[in-house]
Amino acid sequence: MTSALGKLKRWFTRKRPSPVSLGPPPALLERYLQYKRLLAANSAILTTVADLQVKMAEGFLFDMHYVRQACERLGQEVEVLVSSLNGMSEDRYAALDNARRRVAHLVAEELSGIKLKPAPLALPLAEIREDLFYGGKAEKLGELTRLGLAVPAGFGVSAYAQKLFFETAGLEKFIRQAIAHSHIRDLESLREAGEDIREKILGEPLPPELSQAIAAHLAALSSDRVAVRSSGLQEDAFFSFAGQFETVLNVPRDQVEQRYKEVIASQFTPRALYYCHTSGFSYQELAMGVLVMEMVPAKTAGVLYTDDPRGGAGAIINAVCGLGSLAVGGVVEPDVYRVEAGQVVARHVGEKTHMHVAAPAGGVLDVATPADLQGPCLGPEQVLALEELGRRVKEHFRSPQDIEWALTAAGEFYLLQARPLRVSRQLKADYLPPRIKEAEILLGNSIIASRGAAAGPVYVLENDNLADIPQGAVLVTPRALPEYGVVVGRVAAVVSEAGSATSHLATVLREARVPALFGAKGAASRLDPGREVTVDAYYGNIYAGRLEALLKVPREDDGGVRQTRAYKVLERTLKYITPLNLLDPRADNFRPDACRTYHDITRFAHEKAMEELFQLSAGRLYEDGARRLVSPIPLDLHIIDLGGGLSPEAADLALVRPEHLTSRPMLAYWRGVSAVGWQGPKPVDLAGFMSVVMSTATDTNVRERLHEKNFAIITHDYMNLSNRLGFHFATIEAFLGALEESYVSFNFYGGGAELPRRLRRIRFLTRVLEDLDFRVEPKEDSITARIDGYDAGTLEGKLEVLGRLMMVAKQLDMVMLSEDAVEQYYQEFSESHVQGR
Amino acid sequence: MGRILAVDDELDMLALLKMIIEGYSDHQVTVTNNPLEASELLDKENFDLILTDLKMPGMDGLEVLARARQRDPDALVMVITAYGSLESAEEATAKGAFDFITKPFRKEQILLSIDKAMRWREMVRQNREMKQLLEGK
Repeated sequence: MTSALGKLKRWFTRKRPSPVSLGPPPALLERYLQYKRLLAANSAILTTVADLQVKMAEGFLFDMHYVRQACERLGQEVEVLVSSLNGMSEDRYAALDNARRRVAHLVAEELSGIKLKPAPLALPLAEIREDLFYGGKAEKLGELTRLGLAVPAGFGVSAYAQKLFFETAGLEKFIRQAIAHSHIRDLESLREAGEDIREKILGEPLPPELSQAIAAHLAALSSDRVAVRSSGLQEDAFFSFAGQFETVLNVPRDQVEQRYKEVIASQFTPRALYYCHTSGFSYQELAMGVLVMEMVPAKTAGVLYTDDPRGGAGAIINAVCGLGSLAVGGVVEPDVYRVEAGQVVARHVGEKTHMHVAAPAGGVLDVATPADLQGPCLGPEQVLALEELGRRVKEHFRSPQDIEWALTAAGEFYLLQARPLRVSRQLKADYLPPRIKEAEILLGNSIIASRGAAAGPVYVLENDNLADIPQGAVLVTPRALPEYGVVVGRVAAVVSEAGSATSHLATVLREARVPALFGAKGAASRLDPGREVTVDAYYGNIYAGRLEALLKVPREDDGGVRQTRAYKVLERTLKYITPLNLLDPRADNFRPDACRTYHDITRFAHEKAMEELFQLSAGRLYEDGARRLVSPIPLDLHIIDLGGGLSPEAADLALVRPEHLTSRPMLAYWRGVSAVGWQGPKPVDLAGFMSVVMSTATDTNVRERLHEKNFAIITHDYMNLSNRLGFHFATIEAFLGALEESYVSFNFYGGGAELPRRLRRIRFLTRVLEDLDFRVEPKEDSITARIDGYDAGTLEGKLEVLGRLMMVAKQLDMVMLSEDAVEQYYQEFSESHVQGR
Repeated sequence: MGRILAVDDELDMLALLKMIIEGYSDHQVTVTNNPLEASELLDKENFDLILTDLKMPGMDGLEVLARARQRDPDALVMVITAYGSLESAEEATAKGAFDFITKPFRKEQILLSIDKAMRWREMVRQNREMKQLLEGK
């Protein structure tokens, strides 16, 4: 006993040696810096994800370059994120890097585009479907054939067949070389290269299996002449590399192979080669399917628009005598017929001075139109029959169509091609939802976290009780926590008082297209529970009642942006980026191997990083490098500044004062501490102290604990304070930064009294913390509590109250005699120390 | 109504521009992915407006701009620049570009910019005609 006392006495009264160095301990500093690096990456990732979502949802025009860049940026930041986490934790999360690689690989696959997979080399039209690489033209004709419409018999040769041909004949290599030798700045040299490539292609024989396939399918056709047409893999016609030989008419059977090669070869225009110079030769751009179809002995042919491209009413048909190759191109003036509501409402007979006919040797002849074919090409019944046919096609594809047709002498119509018709639209205010003038605005100027509008009854979330939210409610919450993502199927809209547009929850809501407003200050108090409101997440307002005008806004007309390749690729790629599966850190799936997306990885890493950071004060901390805080309050507090926590004047001081503190969280906490002050006995009264120790301590670790110093590891934005006050051992940690990064956590263990008293103390603390909006997990005689989702200013307020709380709790320690005492002291504390209640 | 030449080495962007402009206005768009070809096209036809990307391999937008203006000092050129490269957009404007737009952009933005350019051109033309009338007197 005496030796223990003696030791204690010596410990309290010995002279402390002067610190060797006042610089921050490298290990701690390194961990903190890694944490900051992780936060920066986290923020960059969420911002990029939000940007991608907005670009997709709000009618932006973007190209593959944008998509690739964004994905590359994301990949890099996720790499930094994961490496920072491992840097902080001595590589404890190697599994997370595996998850990262998995996802990165999937993203890269989507970006590299369609790979030509082995597919049947040739198929009859009726069997041609999507995903077999036959190209849009062939796929559409395949569909029309299966519908039973009159399409000439024929077959397609797949783009994969071209690839096979090129690979077998060494053409890929030849093409690459030709491109490499040409000069990008010289059009002439590009033309020459194209010529060389075309010649080479025409000179090479087709691989035997392809020849055989073509021959076999040709044999199934009955006409002795066919039409050979290109069917490119990229969607329609706004820009293609297609050259001269898009369509070759009237081909004798023994020339089909040669024409096939010509059509393929004609892709290599100067434009195509310019493209290959920078992007390389890829089958994605330069492989095409080819159609071979029976020649229709056309008496009349032309084009049918199922809608007026200028946006007017009715269908428009133009017609020429003979083959349809003269129908467009402005060389001959065609007949034009207009059909509205089943009537031919207009007719213009063109001067069809000449026409195309099939030449005996193959190909097409231009001849003067004989006299008996002058006059209208189509009679009214024929016009109507054709329009009816067009309507069926339009119904099937559910969009206006541009259709090539031919009419035989026997009076049969055939469909030769169908593609989407772009109809002119007006750039009207339809695109912007109406501004509501007359309605009552309950709350205005909130941040639009997820665009859209919805209505429903208000439901104010309490105690994070997500299970009770009624279907179709407008959820109102004080914070935008990622865990709330589970409400997605149930709510009409989300209104949160805090939270940013780049938060996890905002990302989830945007993906699910649930309208959401964040930063809606006062929403929880201003919106009455149960009241019907309309959330306008176009302009950031909440209106009383249900405003149909806003809700009826039709799906925005994007002008076809959603059909573009870049959009589709981004849509597919985002599947591996935005969905958040790891919503709740306490759930089973919060593990690296359960991470399916970059978003999952980001969430996981951030949560774990905070856990790792907390451990800063868990290891052995040394006085060396620490300063002592000297103040009216006799706390034995050692300060380790990792950067920015103390003012420059204190750089060389071993003893610092509160005025030297520049750490924002520490200052807030200290304000609370000093407000209450110290009213109890000083711990240097050893007799009283030791009697308390010996009579009440049941904790065998007490002796070591009494040797612990109080340490505060601080930076400008961070504080990790491990505190011993009497028999309370508390760790208070806080990071004050951007909204989604800020938090305060509080871990408390209390000893030094018999169990009932300790439990009462826990209950008192729990109640105060819950009032302060902390999430509290009380265990038997300890507490873990945490608050986040609020901005730094609000959290400073909480820290201040914590400072007060710690001072007050110490003094109440010995007087927690009964349950009533708990209630009493809770009320007292609430009234005197917790502002604004 | 107006004739527009669009030059961009990104195929998707070209297709989108043509689709959007022709879909929502009366203007006709000629497209090419090859800025060298653009020179040839400029020789063959008069365009009311030239839309060109800034960063292209072989010949960049500034050269296209220079050539267009060499041929016709009144040529209206609008440059398309990627987000984050405002300096090049500013340089282009200093060298005579009428306007610039940053991609990705919303379709309303490009349509309104084109509209603005076309109205400007019309105004310049009318101005010239009126001057000639006055001088002719």
